[in-house]
Amino acid sequence: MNNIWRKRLSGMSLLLVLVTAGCGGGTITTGSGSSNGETAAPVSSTAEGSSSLAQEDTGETIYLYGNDFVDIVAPEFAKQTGYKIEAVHYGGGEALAKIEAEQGNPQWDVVMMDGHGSIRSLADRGFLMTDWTPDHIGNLTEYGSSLVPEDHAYTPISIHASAVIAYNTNRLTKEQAPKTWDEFFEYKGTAGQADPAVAAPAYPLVSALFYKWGIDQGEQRYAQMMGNGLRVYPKNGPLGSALVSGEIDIAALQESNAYDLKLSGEPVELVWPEEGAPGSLRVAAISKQTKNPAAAKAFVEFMLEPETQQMLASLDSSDSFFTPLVKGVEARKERETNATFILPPAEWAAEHEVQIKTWFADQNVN
Amino acid sequence: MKNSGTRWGVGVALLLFIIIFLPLLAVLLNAILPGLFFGNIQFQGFGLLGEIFHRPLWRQSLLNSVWLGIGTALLGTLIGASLAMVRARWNFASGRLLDAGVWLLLIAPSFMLAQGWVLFAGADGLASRLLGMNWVTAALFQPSGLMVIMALSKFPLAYLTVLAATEWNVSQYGHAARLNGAHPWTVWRTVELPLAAPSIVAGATLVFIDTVGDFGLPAALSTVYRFPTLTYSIYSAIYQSPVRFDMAGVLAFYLVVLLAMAMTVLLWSLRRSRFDFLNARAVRMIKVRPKSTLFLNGVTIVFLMMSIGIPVGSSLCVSLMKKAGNKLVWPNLTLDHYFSLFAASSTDHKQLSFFEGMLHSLTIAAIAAGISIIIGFIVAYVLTFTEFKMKGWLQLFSIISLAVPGIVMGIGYIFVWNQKWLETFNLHLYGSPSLLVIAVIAGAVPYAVRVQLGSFGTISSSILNAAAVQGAGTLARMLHIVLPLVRRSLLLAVLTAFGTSVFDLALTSMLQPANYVLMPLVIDQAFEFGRYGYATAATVLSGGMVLLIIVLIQFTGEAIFKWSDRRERNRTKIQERHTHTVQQGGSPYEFNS
Repeated sequence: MNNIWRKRLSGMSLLLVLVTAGCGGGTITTGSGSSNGETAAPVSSTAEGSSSLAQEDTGETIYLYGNDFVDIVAPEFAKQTGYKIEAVHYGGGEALAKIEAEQGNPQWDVVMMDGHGSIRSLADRGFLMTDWTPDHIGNLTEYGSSLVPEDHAYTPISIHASAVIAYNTNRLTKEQAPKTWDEFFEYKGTAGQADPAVAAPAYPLVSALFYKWGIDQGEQRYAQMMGNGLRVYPKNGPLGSALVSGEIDIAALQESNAYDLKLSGEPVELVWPEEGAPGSLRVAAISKQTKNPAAAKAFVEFMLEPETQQMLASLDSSDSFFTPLVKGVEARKERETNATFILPPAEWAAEHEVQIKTWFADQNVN
Repeated sequence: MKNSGTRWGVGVALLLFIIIFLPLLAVLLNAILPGLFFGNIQFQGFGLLGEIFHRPLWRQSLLNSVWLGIGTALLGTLIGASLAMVRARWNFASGRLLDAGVWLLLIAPSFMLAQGWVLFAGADGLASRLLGMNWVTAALFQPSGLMVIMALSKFPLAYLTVLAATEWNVSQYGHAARLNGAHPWTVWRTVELPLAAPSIVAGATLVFIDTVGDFGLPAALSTVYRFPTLTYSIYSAIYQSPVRFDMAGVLAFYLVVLLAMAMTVLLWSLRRSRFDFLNARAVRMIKVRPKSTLFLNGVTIVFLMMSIGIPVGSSLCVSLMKKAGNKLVWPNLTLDHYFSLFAASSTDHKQLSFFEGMLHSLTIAAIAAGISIIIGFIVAYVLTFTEFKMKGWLQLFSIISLAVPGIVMGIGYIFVWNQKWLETFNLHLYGSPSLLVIAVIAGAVPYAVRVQLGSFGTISSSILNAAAVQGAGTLARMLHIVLPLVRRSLLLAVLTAFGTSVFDLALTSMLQPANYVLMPLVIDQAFEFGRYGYATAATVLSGGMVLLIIVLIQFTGEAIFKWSDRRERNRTKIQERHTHTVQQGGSPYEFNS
């Protein structure tokens, strides 16, 4: 007697997913619409000087995946250019995982993050728009220009130290603290660093030292240090806490974390080694499959403007500790004035990434 | 009846296949066919599967997972089963507290408990700074210490399993033995323990499955102590560059092998016993009041203090302290962290908006709970009352998402649902909250099914057969016979599904639509960026709110049932004054027993 209903309902159970999909479809627009509200500019205003380019675009919101500054640059970019942008914060690893997982159907337009090696690897595998030179490329300093890749797959924005030598002042005096990376690796007490498999700045650290010493000697020194009890923490946050609590005496700690602890009155002091700190290059790159190239390009141009960089370098947070790569921008006063970096070429860092990370992860097993 | 049952069975099995099994399959396929989902099919061979015996990290992760799982299963079952046997036999004051605590632990997300443990036992934690117990860090952050932490968080599964079986099975045999002059200890040893044995095995298996598949606890604990487990190595394989989904697939494969072995044991013990964990049984043993309850109360309270008191208490303390490292004294106390929950805007990724996160998470959990209950109801019906041939598969599909870590399911969901061709059907769900809803449903289905299976077991199928003979269709039988009988456990199932859904971290971090704030992310981000005050205040307040909602709905539901029972009874009295009718309103829900 209930045959029709019975059939309908068994069909409905199958279609439940589809039904939720339909309902959910409605929420997508409301959901992202409400968060768009803060960043999106009025649709009517178009970017000055790029109106011809803008015609290629769909006019839809572009998506920026980034590991720093996303909260600040997106609204400012939208305000200045009129393009709609949604910036999403991910850790470096998360951003890359998302980009890779989405490769069948990319949802991002621009990526801005640390680690030129990883971005180089994306470029080599055809993820990125190449052979486009930003108009503002001339704004770069000499050092900045030297870091521009030949195929223009990405644009360097700024550089900071993925690690400086930080020490606990309750446990060590200035004289006792290691001054160079050689001394750091010969230290007899407890030391720590972040895990290159998890923390975004840790591969730039490890790869810079491997590059400096050569792979064989790098492995040898790390193996010795691990034998001495080098502690590897997943990320720089817990590493900093361990340094403050005295669990470790010294740490190869990311610059911003080190300055943050020092300025907030914790017993932490840092040394910028003379031979340089391992550099972490922040770059911006555009997806090859972006549907809005004009807006994406406008974003890279925006990041190369001195005003943008000065705004970021003047922020009242530890994010502002970096060396701007655009001329006429002043870095923070509290920071090392003569900041030098060890930076392996992007190709080298990309080529050896799997090898170094795999070696490191396998060594570092309890 | 048979055909219709099969139709329902096929329908629901297909649904579970799509939302639970397909994403898992997608990840596993990556181990041999990387690029399958990116339009680049190339067979890589099975060589990578053998790598696990050569790569030290992988081998260690597998070993760590196995040892942690076994250790936790033994210890957790010892705690859970002993408490359950005590609880089933004796009536003591803290018994209700124990039941409530067990439910609380069951629905509390593991990353929240882990956060509490880290705040307590970390080198910088409350134990060393506040209580001067410096040894705690070294004692807990080593393999056996982790087992203790895990066992204290996972014992509820064993407790509920054993409690269900102990309460149900023993009375008549025990009484017979006692009548023949057996000593209570002999009765327990020779009658009760063997009868409870299958449920103990089942409980241990569930603890093992939950431990091995857990991501939140190992991930949070490894911020202070490096102890790679399979789930954690999957996480780091995904988050390294270039991303190795094939490696994640290999590790996920071994995880699934472990879980499959555990599940075989579980199904075997299921067959040997009339048991179901998380259930609501009608017939119960009458509890004895022991001569002195002091000892029982003492033991219960000590366990609750350790399993709930430490993690929750630590979070509460930190949320009230200006500076976490300082002493718990007046000048260091503040409510600022709670006020800041309402001041933060969602534009700061370190301090996401509490209000927005709560709203989104509660909405998603409520929708998911509702839908998963309907699915769970149909699954339990098909499993209990029909002759559907593929019951085994249905069982498997309905439990597997409990075991497979959210992070694996998350990648699988991206593979399956971020396909270009789906856009033409308006089904491109990746990046929209609706995919989160589906994923959360997948996570809640095992709870929904288990709870309902328990109460369905108490219904005699003869009532349904009688109804079928009278011409009632499957739907009519479900709605007019089964539904009223199981409504209390249905309410319990909804609440459990809701409670477990609100804070699903791993899934939400993979599938979160751009800038869509969700509660677990609010807590996790703040914790990761060292904003412990904000993270703990958010934990305490959101946890409290969810608990309050559950308790309120529970009370409202009970009140409505009572009211409708009374109305029904009055009507029956008027109609048949001479017949004495007892209306059975379903199995009593044991939360407050």
